[in-house]
Amino acid sequence: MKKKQKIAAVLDFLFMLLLGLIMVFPLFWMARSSLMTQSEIFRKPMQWLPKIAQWKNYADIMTMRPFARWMCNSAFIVFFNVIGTMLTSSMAAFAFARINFRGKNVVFAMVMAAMMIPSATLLIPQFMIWKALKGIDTYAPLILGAFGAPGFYTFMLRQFYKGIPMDMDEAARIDGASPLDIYLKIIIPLSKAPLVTVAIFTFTSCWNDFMGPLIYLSSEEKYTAALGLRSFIGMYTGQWHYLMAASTVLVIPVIILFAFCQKIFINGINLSGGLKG
Amino acid sequence: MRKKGFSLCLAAITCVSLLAGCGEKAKESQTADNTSAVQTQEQEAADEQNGEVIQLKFTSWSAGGEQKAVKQALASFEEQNPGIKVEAEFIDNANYTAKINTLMAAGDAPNVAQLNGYLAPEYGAKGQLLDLKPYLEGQVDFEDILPEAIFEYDDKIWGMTFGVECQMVLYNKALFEEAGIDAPSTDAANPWTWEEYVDAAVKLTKDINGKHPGEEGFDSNNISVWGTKVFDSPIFNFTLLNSNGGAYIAAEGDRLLVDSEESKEVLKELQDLIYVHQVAPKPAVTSAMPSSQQMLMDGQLGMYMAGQFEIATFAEAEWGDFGVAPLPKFKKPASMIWGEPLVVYDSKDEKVNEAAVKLVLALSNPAEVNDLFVTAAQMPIYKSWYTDPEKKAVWTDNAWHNESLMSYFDSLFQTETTSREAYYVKNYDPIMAIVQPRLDKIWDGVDVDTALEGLQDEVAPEMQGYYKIVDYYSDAK
Amino acid sequence: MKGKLKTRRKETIWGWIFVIPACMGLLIYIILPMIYSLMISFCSWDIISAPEFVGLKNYKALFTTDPHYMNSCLVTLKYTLIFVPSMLIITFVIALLLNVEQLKGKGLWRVLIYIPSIVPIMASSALWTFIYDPTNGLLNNLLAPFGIHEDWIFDKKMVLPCIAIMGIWGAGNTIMINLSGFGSIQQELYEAVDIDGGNWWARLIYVTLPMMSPLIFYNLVMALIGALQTFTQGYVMTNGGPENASNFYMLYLYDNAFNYNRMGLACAQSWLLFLVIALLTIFLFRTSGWVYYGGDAE
Repeated sequence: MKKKQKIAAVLDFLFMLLLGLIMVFPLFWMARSSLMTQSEIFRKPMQWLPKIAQWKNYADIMTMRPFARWMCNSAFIVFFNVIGTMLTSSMAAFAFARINFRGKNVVFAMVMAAMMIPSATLLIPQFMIWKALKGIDTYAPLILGAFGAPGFYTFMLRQFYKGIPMDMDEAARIDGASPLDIYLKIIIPLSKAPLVTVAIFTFTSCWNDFMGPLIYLSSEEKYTAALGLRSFIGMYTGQWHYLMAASTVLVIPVIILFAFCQKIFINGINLSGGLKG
Repeated sequence: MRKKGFSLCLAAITCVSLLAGCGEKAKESQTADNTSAVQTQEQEAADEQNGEVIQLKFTSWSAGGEQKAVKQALASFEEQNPGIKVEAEFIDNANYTAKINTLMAAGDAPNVAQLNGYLAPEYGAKGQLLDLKPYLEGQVDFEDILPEAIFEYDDKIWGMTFGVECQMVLYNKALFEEAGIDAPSTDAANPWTWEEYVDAAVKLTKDINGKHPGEEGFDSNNISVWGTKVFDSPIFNFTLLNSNGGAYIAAEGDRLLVDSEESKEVLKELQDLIYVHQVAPKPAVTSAMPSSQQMLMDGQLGMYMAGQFEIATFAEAEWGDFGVAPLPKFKKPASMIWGEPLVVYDSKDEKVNEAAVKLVLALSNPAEVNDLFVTAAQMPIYKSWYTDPEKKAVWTDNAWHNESLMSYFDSLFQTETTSREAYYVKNYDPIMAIVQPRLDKIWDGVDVDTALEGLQDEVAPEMQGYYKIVDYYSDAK
Repeated sequence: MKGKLKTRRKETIWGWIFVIPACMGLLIYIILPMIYSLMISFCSWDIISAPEFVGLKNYKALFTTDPHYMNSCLVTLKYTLIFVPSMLIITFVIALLLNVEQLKGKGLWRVLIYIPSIVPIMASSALWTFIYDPTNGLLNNLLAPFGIHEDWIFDKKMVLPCIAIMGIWGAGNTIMINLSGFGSIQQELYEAVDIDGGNWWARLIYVTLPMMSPLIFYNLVMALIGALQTFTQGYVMTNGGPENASNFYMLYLYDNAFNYNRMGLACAQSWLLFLVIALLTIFLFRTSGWVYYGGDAE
């Protein structure tokens, strides 16, 4: 038995190694391209390493564009997006999963429906609404959306919450607890893992989002980093070495955040059948 | 547990109030950055009523080096015109139309915008744009401007470019010498023939064993040097069609000419480059990578049809070892000069419109946007900048504006060039969207006649006529 | 009786309090724009001039005279059928393999696997275009010794599977969700299987799959919704080609809205897509009896 397990573990490890190499290849390609001159990047056959590492690419992107400023802008927007999503999505998901209220199914259906609408057609009417609210060229359109319980995360959390045994809720209710109490004292502590998941996913998608900033922001100094990336590619030519350097810079915070948090949400929670804490 | 819940609520409240505060801060910093703040057109009018500064909004898709040059030009424009402030927004090319459309729909159109040429007559006809003619008449010497720079329809000028592009064949001089090919003439009126072009391509193409197409043992899956490329982009192939008397669409905009005998001949010749002569790879459908320029520089590609803006890549690498030749001719020489225009949206306010036109003129003045022309990203629109030695030296005194290129320019302006049908035929984009898959079939090796079968009928509902009849000398009827 | 009604009412009030943010967001951000786009779908609008009411003309045209619509439906359908099952299975298997107890370096593998999903689209599309390049791209170089030489995304038969592969490569999110779910499964359940003498297969069938079913359901629904709305790869890499083989529904919609100035048509398209997705999702929810909610679902 044990030998079989060991062999399986080794095979698994090798498989992961291969997979890991495949997955990390784009990062490697980006990083190596970021240190090359423009002409070296697309040379065929592919050059695995730059002849001379062009560190000045990184210096250049900071000076040629207000890239550092852009990253701060991104951080600002992302921070509020994460908070907003975690808060409102968990509230709504809790309600959908564990409160029996009139009209629940209708609202849930609408939250689901919101995910199914092609965004291209909402672009213009949403823009006009924000124009009426004087929100153009501010961060309001890019942040307030997160406070409306985005469907992706609400749905996911709802699935999680439905998996938690109801007896805890029932016990609490017998004791006279209100849904707010249940939410704060029981559900939130138990949903550390999914909440961290939501936080990471929100962070990532918001950090890399350029369409929202593209449409709503017009002042260059307000740009986010993801939007700023596009400024390196023109109609006929592109500054690929800068694009790669900027992309690498952009990716690093997300990797760090993820590496930091991944243990938390992977280990999940251990529902050992009793109330915790 | 209780503490946790309480702190959570506190956090939530703090955040919401922070957010409200930040929302205010964002708006504050917005008004604080006053010199380049966003202002709606109402505020513009209010401002200028005070006899104050006129605010212009300008959008462009320039990026990289081009953008820098444009920004410099804007800065110097503001210096010379203290009563006018320009807020520039650079939107990346791929999303440009989406943003401009959104702005237009919301009534927030910019004052001056770069626009795809085929939209100029459409928006102009629908009353969105300012007719530049009355403004330009006093300020500009029409004799000195290249005709391609002016977008004139029915006696109205809807747009003006700030630079033009032209077509040519770029080749690697070293490879030509190595293959023993004589440098083709740079005279646009007497270009090399299509047969000579194919011949050169065959001599240039080599597989990893040094064999040429047609030779015993030639391995077409392992080519080390490609003779040339076939491009998917209609703009180059169009000129070749013209050269044989064909075209994609008839000037009247009521039927296609891509299936005429003349056009089909050219399409077959292009297809042969790939399958019969094996001197070109199949065209990549979309590739934003500068592979052609790179391959040319690296000696992996012998020659290809290009726009002069591709020289900007050589400029960046400071490589001037390329030769320039006109496009090869079928029946008669054909080449194209074109450019995307700047348009002025009619703000209904005289002062603002005047200022906007001033901006357009400043941007097209080579003395202001110097870098653009030095890097060969664009070409000046004023003829004097090609003939006056002093002016010429300003933008051509570098390694990549080499002899070959300059002598080609010289002859180019002496010859008749064709016009870009996209600018004159209505509904161009949807029409070509139907034609494109058929062309894909041809690049895939399907027989030309079969590939184009039934195309006229398929396209018929999309034909909407023309904005302007131009003679791009097609013999096909 | 009265007591019960009172609690019911209290529940309802609390329920609504909790979903207030969701409702506000929905109303302002989704419902109003949707109504607007519905109205436009009955008009002909080129964005420059005022919208012109044309009734059902757009809808009719899509199914009859439109040259690209039916094709784009087919393309999207094909892609969905290729992508969704393979993505769900592969991500689940990878997550399982990643969860093996004796595996060393788990943290590292997780980070590596997540990386593709955070690389900016501009960079990753440049990379994949290079990988798929027929003349001298990475794939062809690697496969040349085996005598394989393909056109990949430039071949109309291969373009959809190639894009699907890109999609799976970037599905780190789904793998993470699966892992997160595995972590929430109670150990005792596995122990019970062990006691009964079950092997890894039994653990999978009797514990893992049922306990994971809520998340599997989530992944299924999200993958479907996402696949039917595929846009980016077509937009950035293939432009709908070759021969319209990758002209996704959303890509054509975008073209109609912003390149051909046919906003009314685009809105009609989006409502049709919405209906399809909605019906599909309702169907999935109705037939989701196989999903086991540990919380005694209502």
